[in-house]
Amino acid sequence: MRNARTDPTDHTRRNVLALLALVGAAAIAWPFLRPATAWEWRFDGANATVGVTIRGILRHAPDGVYIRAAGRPAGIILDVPKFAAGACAAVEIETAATASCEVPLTFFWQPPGATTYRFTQRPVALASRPTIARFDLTREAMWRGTIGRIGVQWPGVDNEAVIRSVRLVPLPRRERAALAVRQVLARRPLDNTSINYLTGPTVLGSGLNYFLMMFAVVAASLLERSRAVRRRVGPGRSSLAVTFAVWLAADAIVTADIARQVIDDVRVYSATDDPAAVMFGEELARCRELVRATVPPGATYTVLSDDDFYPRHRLDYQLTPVRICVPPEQIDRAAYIVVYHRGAARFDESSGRLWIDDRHSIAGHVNGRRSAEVYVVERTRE
Amino acid sequence: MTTLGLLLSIAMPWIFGAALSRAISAGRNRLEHVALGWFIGQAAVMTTLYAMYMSGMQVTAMRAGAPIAVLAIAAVVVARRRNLDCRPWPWKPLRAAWLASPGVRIATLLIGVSLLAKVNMLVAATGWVPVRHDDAIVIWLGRAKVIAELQRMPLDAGDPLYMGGTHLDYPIFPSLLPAWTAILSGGWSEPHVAWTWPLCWLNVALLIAATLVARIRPTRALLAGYLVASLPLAFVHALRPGYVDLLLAGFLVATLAQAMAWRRHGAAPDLALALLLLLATACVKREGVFAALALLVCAVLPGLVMHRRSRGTWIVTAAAVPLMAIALGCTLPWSFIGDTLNGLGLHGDVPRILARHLFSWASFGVLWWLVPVGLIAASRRRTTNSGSSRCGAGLVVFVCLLIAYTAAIFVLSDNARFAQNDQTPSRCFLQIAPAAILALGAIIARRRRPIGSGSSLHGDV
Repeated sequence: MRNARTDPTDHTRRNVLALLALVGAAAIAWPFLRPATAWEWRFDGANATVGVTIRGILRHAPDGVYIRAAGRPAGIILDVPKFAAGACAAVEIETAATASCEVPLTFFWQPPGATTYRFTQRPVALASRPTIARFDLTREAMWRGTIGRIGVQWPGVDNEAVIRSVRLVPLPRRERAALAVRQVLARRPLDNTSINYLTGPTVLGSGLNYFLMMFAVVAASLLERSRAVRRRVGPGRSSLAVTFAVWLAADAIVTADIARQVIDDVRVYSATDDPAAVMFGEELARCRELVRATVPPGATYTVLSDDDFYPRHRLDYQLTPVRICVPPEQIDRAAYIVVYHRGAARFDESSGRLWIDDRHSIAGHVNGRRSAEVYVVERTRE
Repeated sequence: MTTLGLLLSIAMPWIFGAALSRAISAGRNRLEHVALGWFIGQAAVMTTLYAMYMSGMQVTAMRAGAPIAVLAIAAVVVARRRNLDCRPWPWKPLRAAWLASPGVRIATLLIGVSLLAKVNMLVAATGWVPVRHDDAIVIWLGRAKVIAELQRMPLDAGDPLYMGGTHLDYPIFPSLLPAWTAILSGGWSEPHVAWTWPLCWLNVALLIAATLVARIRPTRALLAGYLVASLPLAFVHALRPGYVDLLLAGFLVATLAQAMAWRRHGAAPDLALALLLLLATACVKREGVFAALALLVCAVLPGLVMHRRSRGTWIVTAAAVPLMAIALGCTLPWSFIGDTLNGLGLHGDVPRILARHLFSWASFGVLWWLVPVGLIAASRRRTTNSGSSRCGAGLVVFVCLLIAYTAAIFVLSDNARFAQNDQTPSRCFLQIAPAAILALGAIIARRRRPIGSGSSLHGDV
């Protein structure tokens, strides 16, 4: 048997394992300890908007930048300095308006290198006196910790909105552990994207997999080192045991999340006679009943809606094959036209024509109506 | 009648599949036959209904059920007459492992609790929660509902409900499974037709554990099955039925398990069954074509060389090649495949997105990559001790091909847009994950034991 106290290979092995454990521990500790840097943009002069993307008509003033919607909501986009991007926990926006109003202020952000934005909204009462709107990023499901670009929009402001400052607020170290616990325990509901992918919890800006993996590295390294110190040779089960423990932890977190979702789902759907109405919305359910009442079995219909996908396919699935849905491109094959929140469509009672847009129309009569936005037109011969 | 019909729709194909597997495949344990039987049964249902519909037949419960019932009875009779060597249920090695170590007892209990919780959720969700996701409604279940309620498949290309309606470039076969349940249980009912997916999830996990239990330690075989059952995205697909990724994953695992059984024993009927399952894999989803091709190249063709002296092997091959060529020629979406090949080009931003799906997010769980790495590392050390140097090169190539193909779908084709909006990559990796885990388990088995020692591993891929 080799002498572990003198064999340099064993020494090296023990040292490498100890180093690996240290690296893993440091990687776990880093999100809790990394330096936090606040950053602020103050819009108090003409030069304050250099390098800032402004959407909307702009004028500078000492108390801020005045912007107004021009075709689309007024807004600004800011590039976040790299050193401030990591430990940001909240964003505070000091803003005002020339006329009092309550608007859904929209904050959006983009991770470094990403091309799409994540959005969050909250209602804010604006007045001539500045107010501070705070967006707590740590509560956002889609927040991944680092941000490369941020932006703010003021939809619904008819007059001018004023932007005075945007401040990135770091999270103090003493609050990070509590936040980490909250984030691990927070529920991540199964949404419509869950059939495609599951994002899992984000803890202090890093995915849970990161922490579990690092924990596995630390535990396995320590256990293997302990075996090496005791001069045990050959494969040990400790690494597999650690791996299994981490796996069970990950599985338990996901399973608990899904279980809560299933309990909620069963509670909701077992209490209703029309699950589809809960699933797809009351209005679509009423539209379905309207179609059932007005479109005879075996007839063809099409659905005209600003959303070309959702209402048509939900109606089709519930009514097929008794009533046959054809795509809007084949509207000539449809004996009935279901109008469901189609902005450009209007039925002209005087001429007896459904105008799909300004140029195309179909002769018919309204066969049933649920509201001004939802009705069924039966085609008549031209 | 509805409940009875539902039970019959589940039991008849399953009994047929298990009995057929028992009748032609020797040396496998009962759990393997049961789990594999579910997939064989589903393949039989798809084939039978497709033949009936394509001949223009009006398919009622009686007409659909009778052939499967006859097949099931015939398979049971043949299995009883042949009485091939069949290993018992694999509880004995599991019990021995349970008694041997308190660690195993704790681990098994924890696994049991997790699986029990999952099964409970599946029962509750299948019974009460309606189908909600786009592809399920628009494509797979939508077409199934049309076919089941019409009791026929419109074959006039001018009919708006032609071949079930929308998205004709997607295969019709998976829609035939919920249609079958609806036909036998007396009408379209989501809580009934949804059962296909939980059963698929269950049988994938069982098949992997049952296949590996003869090859590696029973506790590790159990872990492999649990790993698949606990892949978060796999469980979500069982919970939210209507997508075909889990079905494809199941058929791929079944084909691989059957190919491994054939490679081990060299019996011609095993090869025939493997080729039938291969055909089902190719037909169930568009991505299945390449997975089946990879399996053919890595598992079946080397097996033909290995068993080249068997006359039965060549008879089966000679009969299967033209049949498979005709079947694939008639059913595959060749224009879609041609368009995809014509649109090849490099999309450099996609690998980063794929890495996020595999490693950062929870779709596969942290162990998706940690467990295979750990197991292979452990097996390497064991190999060094045992002196065995051979490994399942075919399986290694198979796993690499599957991963490379799935990555290439997004990196090299127009499907990159589905990676950029995150819609498809995790689902595509779900299609290959269970087969990769089974293959890795078999690789470990090959590395652990020298050829010819103990239970023969001769012929594993």
